[in-house]
Amino acid sequence: MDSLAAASLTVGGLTLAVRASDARLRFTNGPGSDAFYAGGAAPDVLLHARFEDLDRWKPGETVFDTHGSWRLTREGEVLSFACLASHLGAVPYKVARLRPGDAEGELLIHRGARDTEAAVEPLQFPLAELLFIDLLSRRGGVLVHACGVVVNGRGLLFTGHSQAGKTTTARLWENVSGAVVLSDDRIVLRLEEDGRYWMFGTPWHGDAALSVAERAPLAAVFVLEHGDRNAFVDLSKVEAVSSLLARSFLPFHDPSAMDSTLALLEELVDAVPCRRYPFVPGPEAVRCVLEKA
Amino acid sequence: MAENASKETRRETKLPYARPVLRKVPLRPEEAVLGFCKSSNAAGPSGANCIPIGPCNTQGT
Repeated sequence: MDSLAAASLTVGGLTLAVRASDARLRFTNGPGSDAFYAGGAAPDVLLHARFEDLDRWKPGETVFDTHGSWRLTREGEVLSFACLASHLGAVPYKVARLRPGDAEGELLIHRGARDTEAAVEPLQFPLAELLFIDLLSRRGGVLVHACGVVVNGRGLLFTGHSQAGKTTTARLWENVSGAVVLSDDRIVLRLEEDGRYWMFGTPWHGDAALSVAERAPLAAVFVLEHGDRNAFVDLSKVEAVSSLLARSFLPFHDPSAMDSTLALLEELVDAVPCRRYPFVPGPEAVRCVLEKA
Repeated sequence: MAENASKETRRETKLPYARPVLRKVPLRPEEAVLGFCKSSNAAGPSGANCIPIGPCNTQGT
């Protein structure tokens, strides 16, 4: 795999780029199709990356701690997304630092005992998703835990928690003539300038490893769950918004970004039909949707 | 006269009181905050394309 002095990732029409400030630092691309990493567009956020001894790094005030893969801290206006691995304890292996809404920031990569010749995947999980969640909330978008399928130019969103049937649904649609699965696990929704809601593929796929860098206008939302028969259940507005909210990746750290996301989902469910879909895995589940959507 | 008619119309069009209903929405905090690696074929410290650090102990979802 080629190593690079700069890397970029475009998801949902937004581009996050990383540029090496240290000549020893080389990058590789992450998961998903190369089309996500093609670059070209002016970045919406640019991170200047360098090696740093992060065991000496002093985090500011803790804003949010997953006690797992990442922690968010704040020093003044600067937010630090620190990526953590259990074998390093409290020392992050990578920290992205930027002011909310700024177009530039920095990416500190722990030098540690690293072989500096080895290339780094700068936006490896969970950093890219965290930064995109933040960016999307400021640009009329949201990242949803969902499988997205495009049929005859119409975007069908199948959202669900883990084990609800997203991967199963993706595999059912994978070989349907005229259907394209944009992702079996993560979809970006955005309100575009044409006043329509669009569904975008992402590189963050699930077990079916389906990931396509394309988009389609959102035509219908189905909240997946396993059932004993295929059925469509209409949702009230409150149920639709709360169902989507509970299956989205949200900017919990920023109240104004949460407000924007809630407003986006509220308007979205007014514009796009949203139903609960208990289903039985099989071709019939596809046929029912084609008849309904 | 007109004011009285307007009050009457408002009274007629007023929606009946509906008692607020509290609904619980099931959340999956560990999924919602990306607290765990998605899978071994996605990005993450355990991923096949993981270069910078060692094995992941946070497999989830």
